Amino acid sequence: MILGASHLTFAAAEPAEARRLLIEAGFKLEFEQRRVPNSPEKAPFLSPSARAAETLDISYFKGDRGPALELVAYPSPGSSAGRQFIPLFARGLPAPLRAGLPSWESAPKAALPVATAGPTTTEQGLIALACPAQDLAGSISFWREGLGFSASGGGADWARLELPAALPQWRLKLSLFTDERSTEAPTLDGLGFRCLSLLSSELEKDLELLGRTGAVERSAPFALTVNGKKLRAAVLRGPGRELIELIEVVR
Amino acid sequence: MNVKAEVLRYFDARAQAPLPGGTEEERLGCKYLDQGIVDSMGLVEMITSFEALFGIRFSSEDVQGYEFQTPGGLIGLIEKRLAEKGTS
Repeated sequence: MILGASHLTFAAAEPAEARRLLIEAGFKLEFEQRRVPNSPEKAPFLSPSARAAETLDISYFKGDRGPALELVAYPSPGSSAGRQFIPLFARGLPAPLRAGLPSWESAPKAALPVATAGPTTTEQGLIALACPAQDLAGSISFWREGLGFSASGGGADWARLELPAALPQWRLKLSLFTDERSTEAPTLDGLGFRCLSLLSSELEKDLELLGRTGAVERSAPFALTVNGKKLRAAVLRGPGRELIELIEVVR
Repeated sequence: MNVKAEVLRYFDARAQAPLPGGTEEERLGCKYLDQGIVDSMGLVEMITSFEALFGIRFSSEDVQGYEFQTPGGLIGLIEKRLAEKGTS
């Protein structure tokens, strides 16, 4: 069972500057962890340079609402190629963090969430994500049947979904929109917003379900310890080659 | 197994803060998520612990529902799942 959205991963060409700008934009630094082991199971989802890295650094930020942000720093910056998630933040992001990244303008206007915060809001946080889909029907099925999102609206070339969850910060709005262009597969270390992490209560069972509902590639589960918490995780690609990480807390 | 005793024992032992209230009724009605008595990682641990302890599976609807928000509702939900298990 998917319990909710934990965080969205972000990689920047200059992680130290991105860290400063995220704090300036209203995110609170929850914790930082240096030299997190780079699990070999993630290799198929990394660029060759990141694959060779033994460790990465992470900085974990929380907003006033919505899932957290995880800034990842590999020894060398990743590529800007390949599709990525397009986040919508309550107060936006500073221009240097948005430079070179796709914006919501690339999605159909109707796909925007109905209730977005106004520009004068003092709250910061992730409100929604847009995700390009080569096969819209296949992607809708994957996100609904595999990941537990429910439909909240749609048109010929877009769909609005929502992930309900027990905690407000685990809930997420998602807009899928048709983009038939073929691009190379994104990598976990790629610049921008590449991976959405979701909390799972049964990792193997959820992975198996996602294999049946459209995941095109899945890693084996691997163990990691983050901020003192023992976790198990797995990475997979959805039908639009989007990257998803499932996280299970070890009892 | 006494579901109420096990659930309250879990909150006493594992929650970030004690359940507030001078009476058992107040403790059972506490909105533990709203009050930060169980945080996000704690909630994940709690779900998996109760599933293992009672041999049940919560559904997405269970976890997202109103009953799940208080210890009292949670006890009712677990008892319902145990009763279903017993009759299946």
